[in-house]
Amino acid sequence: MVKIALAKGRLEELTVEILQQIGIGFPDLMEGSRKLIFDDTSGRYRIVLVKASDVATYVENGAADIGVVGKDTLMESDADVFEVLDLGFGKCKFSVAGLKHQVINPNQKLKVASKYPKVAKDFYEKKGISVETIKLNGSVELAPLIGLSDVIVDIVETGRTLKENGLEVIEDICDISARLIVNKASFKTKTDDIHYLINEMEKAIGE
Amino acid sequence: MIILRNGTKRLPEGVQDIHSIDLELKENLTSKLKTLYRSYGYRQVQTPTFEYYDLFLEINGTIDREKMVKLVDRDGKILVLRPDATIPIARMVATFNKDEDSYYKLSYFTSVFRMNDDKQSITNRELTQAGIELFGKNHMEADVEVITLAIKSMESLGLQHFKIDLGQANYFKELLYESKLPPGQLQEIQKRIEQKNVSELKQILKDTTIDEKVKKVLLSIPLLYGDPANVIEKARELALNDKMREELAYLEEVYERLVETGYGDYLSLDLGMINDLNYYTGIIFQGYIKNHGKPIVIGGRYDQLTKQFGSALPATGFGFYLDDVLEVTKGNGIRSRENVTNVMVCFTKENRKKGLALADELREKGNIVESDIIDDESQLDRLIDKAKSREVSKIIVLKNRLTELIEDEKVSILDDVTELFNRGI
Repeated sequence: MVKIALAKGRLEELTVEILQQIGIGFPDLMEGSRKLIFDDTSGRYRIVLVKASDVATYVENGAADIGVVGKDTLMESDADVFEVLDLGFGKCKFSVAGLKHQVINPNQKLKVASKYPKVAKDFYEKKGISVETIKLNGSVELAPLIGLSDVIVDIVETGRTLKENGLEVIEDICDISARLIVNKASFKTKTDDIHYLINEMEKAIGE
Repeated sequence: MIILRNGTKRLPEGVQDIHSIDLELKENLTSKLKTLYRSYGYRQVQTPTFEYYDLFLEINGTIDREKMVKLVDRDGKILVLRPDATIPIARMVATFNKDEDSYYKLSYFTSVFRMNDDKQSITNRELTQAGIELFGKNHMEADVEVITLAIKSMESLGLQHFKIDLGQANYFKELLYESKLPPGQLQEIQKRIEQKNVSELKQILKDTTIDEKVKKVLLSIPLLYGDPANVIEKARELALNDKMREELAYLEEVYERLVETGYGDYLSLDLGMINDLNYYTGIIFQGYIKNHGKPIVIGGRYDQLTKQFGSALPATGFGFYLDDVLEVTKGNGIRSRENVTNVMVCFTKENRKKGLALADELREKGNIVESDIIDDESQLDRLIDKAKSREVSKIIVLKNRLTELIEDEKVSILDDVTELFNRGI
């Protein structure tokens, strides 16, 4: 049996849609059941619903064989998994945002607030700028407004939230989309089942 | 109860006590491997628990320096708790080896220490590794023997549904040489190949000036895995020079020799397995068990290592992660009863000497025997209950001139102690 870890929400809906297209149906899940574990009609695939930031943990440890996760949480967790497919949906960007006319002085320590402190730290490290990161769990836009940080690193889809709060994008870090990740051991020991799934999903998103 | 100050936990994070049942299971696994390695002529060695940090700093190894557990010596020098089993053994061999023609077959069963500072889940900082190292043989049959022993280890540990994934570090190294990339870019590309992340690899390659032919091969490397015959054929078509073809042919022959022995079903190939390229110099492999998320054995050829200690000996070997093996075999429900007490001897004060002699005699016959004294009859029931709850199957009671044998709820009164032995106890 192939276990698939998904995070409740849009990524899950779109993934289930793709699975439906390739003939793997989860009727209970479509009906909006509140269970957390679902088997498909053939009994060969199982979906487990977990928190978005936990998908990579489940897959890395082999509790799930494959998972669908946003590149954002994947980058933050730095999980040791195979990242085999860019599913192309859930598209957005990692960006640095701050107050308009924010001046970034390279000789001064920069305070960065983010839900993704590792991503923020890695980005600035590559640029050779030393930063202090502050981990927040939500409403990150507030931080520069009330003086908690100089800038924020966050995912930006349309930029509307930033604009309404008087912030703007200073620079983009990278593009984000949903990724299909696979546990390294499962990849080697359940080769046939997993490769079939990857190939079919790749075909389905190509269409 | 000891209350530690400042709310300190009783054990630092990442280390654990091992209880008797787990330790017995672990010893059991260890002894199976010891028997196997011994039968192939590998002799066990041990290196110190801590050594100089500089030793591991200067060597191209497989562990991050930040992950080593450091101490400071009296003279201010930095020490580390053994972060890896192979490097110290290589140092040891290179130090006592005087004869470039000699070879050494060594095995080890040891703890390695690694900091794991992931805040969300602190995993073990002390791991048990078991493995072998074969120094001084650079021909193919040495690679084959080491892989064979990895497979036989799996079998003797009672593991089923496992895969040994073979790779060839040099195939990729030759390709990198061909690509003439700067180190920074190289790292990014290598990371994507390790992750089998073709979409991002494509993105990165698009912005480079690498020759189109090389690009095509780099993009195909992550997909060179699975069925061996198929992979080898594809890899041969992709090879850009004779050296790549040569390295591939080597891998192919190693594979064929293993198939000839009858191990074909256990093997798969992955030319995208390119971890720790500074360290490995030829055939590399990893072993996986079904439904266990991590590799449980990692190995390969590392011909450059002893050279760094001043004695050029080619080398190949592997290390098993015994804690992971233990986790898997525990899940299989195998439980050994061979270390549980099977006889309890109880006696009154006047029978003490006789009782202890009996207990010793039973021990010599290979039983695990506990003994205890009873002051009066009223204590007997409690003692028997306790013994039963500890799964002791036979209880012998010596009181006055009577010998009582309690066995599976039945009580027999024996005339004499010798009757015990007649019953085969």
